[in-house]
Amino acid sequence: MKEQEKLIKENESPVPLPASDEAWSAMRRLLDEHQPEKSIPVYTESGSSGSAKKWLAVAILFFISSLVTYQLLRPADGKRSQTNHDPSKKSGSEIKSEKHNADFGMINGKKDQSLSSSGVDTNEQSNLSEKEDRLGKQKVPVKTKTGSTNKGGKHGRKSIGENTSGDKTVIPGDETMAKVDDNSTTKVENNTGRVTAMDNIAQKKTNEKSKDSATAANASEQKIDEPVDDWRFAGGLFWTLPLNAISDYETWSAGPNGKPQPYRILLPGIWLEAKHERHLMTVELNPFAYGIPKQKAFKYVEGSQPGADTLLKTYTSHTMLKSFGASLGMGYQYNINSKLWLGGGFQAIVWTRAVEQEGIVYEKIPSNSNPSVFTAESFTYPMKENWEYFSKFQLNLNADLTYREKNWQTGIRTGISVSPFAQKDGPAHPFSASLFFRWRLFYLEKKVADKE
Amino acid sequence: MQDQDQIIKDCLANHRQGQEKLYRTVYPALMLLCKRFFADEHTALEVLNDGMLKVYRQIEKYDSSKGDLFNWIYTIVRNTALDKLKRSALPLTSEINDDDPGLFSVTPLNSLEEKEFYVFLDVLNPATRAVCSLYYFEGFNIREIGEILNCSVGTVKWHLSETRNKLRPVLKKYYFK
Repeated sequence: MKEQEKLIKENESPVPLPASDEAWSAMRRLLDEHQPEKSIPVYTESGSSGSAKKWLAVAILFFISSLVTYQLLRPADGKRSQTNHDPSKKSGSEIKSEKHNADFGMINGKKDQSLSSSGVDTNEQSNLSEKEDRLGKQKVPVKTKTGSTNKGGKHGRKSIGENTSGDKTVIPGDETMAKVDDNSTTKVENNTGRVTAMDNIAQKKTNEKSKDSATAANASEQKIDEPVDDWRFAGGLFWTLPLNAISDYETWSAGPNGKPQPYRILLPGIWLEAKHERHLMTVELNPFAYGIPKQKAFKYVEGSQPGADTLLKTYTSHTMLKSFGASLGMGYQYNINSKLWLGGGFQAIVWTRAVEQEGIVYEKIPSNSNPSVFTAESFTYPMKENWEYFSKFQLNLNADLTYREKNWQTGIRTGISVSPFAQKDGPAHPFSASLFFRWRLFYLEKKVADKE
Repeated sequence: MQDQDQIIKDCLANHRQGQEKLYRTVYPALMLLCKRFFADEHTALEVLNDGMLKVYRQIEKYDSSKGDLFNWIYTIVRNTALDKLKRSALPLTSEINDDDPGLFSVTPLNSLEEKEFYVFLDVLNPATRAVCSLYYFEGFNIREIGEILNCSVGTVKWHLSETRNKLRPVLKKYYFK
């Protein structure tokens, strides 16, 4: 035993031994299999330990599911305004109030100011009167500028306001004309009896416009993807599904520890966009990015171990299966069709972890005349010692095709690394293809001054 | 061993860094131990790693007041190797019933140095190699070896005799010209 201790101290061996690196690699695989390392232990009051990452994943999943539920259950803004201001659904008191307002307007011979108290501001009233004048004389160009028409419910009030104007000349036959209008408006008109034929036509147009905007939930949201002059900003979460090796479940689902973690696909990134007319700029941040490069060996090791009656040759190859890190990307897209956008961009990725596969082929060469026997085995484990063969920074160029809907977007992305990934052998410029899905969570709008 | 307490703490926490440090420290000695029992390097490494896995799993049972950490690990790995030898069913051979200890008192192996011993061990078959290692290296007596390997005293003696017979021509060739 003393000799062994001496051996440890001097780190000398009387006979050649296998490299300790290889031995430790085998030992680590054994440990990973039988005694997995728990990362970032979290100690609870009861003393039991858990994984902080696991809790983080649960929290993120909870957050996402809450957002999705909220988005699904939340009534659209337009629907809300439709409910509140749909002229066809006015309560009796509202109608009475409008009747009173109409009468009041008739008596005073002025535009009904009391309407502003029911939610329409006076500025809008003045705009309405201007439009009214135009409606009475010419065809009003119904410009559906999203920024200015984000008041679906207000259109309903507009029509009432228009109908309640006091300065109208009574023309016989008004009632007949009025019948073609919707019920609520007709009631008011019949009561006032002061709407001209031209006003009725204009009223009809306005009501149609009002109906369109009301039934289409929210004009701004409905037409969000239409090219407009305004700047629009939106953002939310996105998920990607890599198409590389999609048929290889083991690779596709592998987590940083080499074990299957299919739930990782649910971990989202964050995206922001700015849109102006047909141009769109996008920024993406994904703290859970991963890449699946082409499975090409980056390291070969050949060894031989002489035995009593056989020579054992080993051929070991190392292949990177998957890499994990964080990515930041920027892109530009152009509207090529009503809902299709085409563009490209770049993506900077910092890889922090990876999973490699070690494949070993054993060749037993007997000393007698028997033929060699080949056996093979492979191990998958986290990469720790072979990062020297790869660059941890990667710059990708991407091309995107996106289909955009009101609250979500989906598309396909292809990309290629322009910076060398594998330093010697292995995937030098990995090609990637993925499907992505974006969920919009917020939306902001910056109006451009009306040229009119 | 430096930082032994820290290494033990890391191993208790199942941290790879500490486990690796311990492994690399004891690896040369334990690999030599396993190579004495198994000619095949692959098998020797497998046994060593199996033994070390037991060490990592049971390190909370280590009591520094009872002995040195290395000795504790060494014993576990050696027992793992012996278990492997038992499982690998040693070939039965003819027994020698002569209990005369003098039969093995004088042996040319005593004149061998450790380095040379490893070279000549490759000449022996696995069972004889194991008996030889236990007798000449580990210091077990014949009866203990019989108990360890689940074989009779005569069988152990036969293996020791076989060791001498196998090594004699080699020794004559290199040392007694």
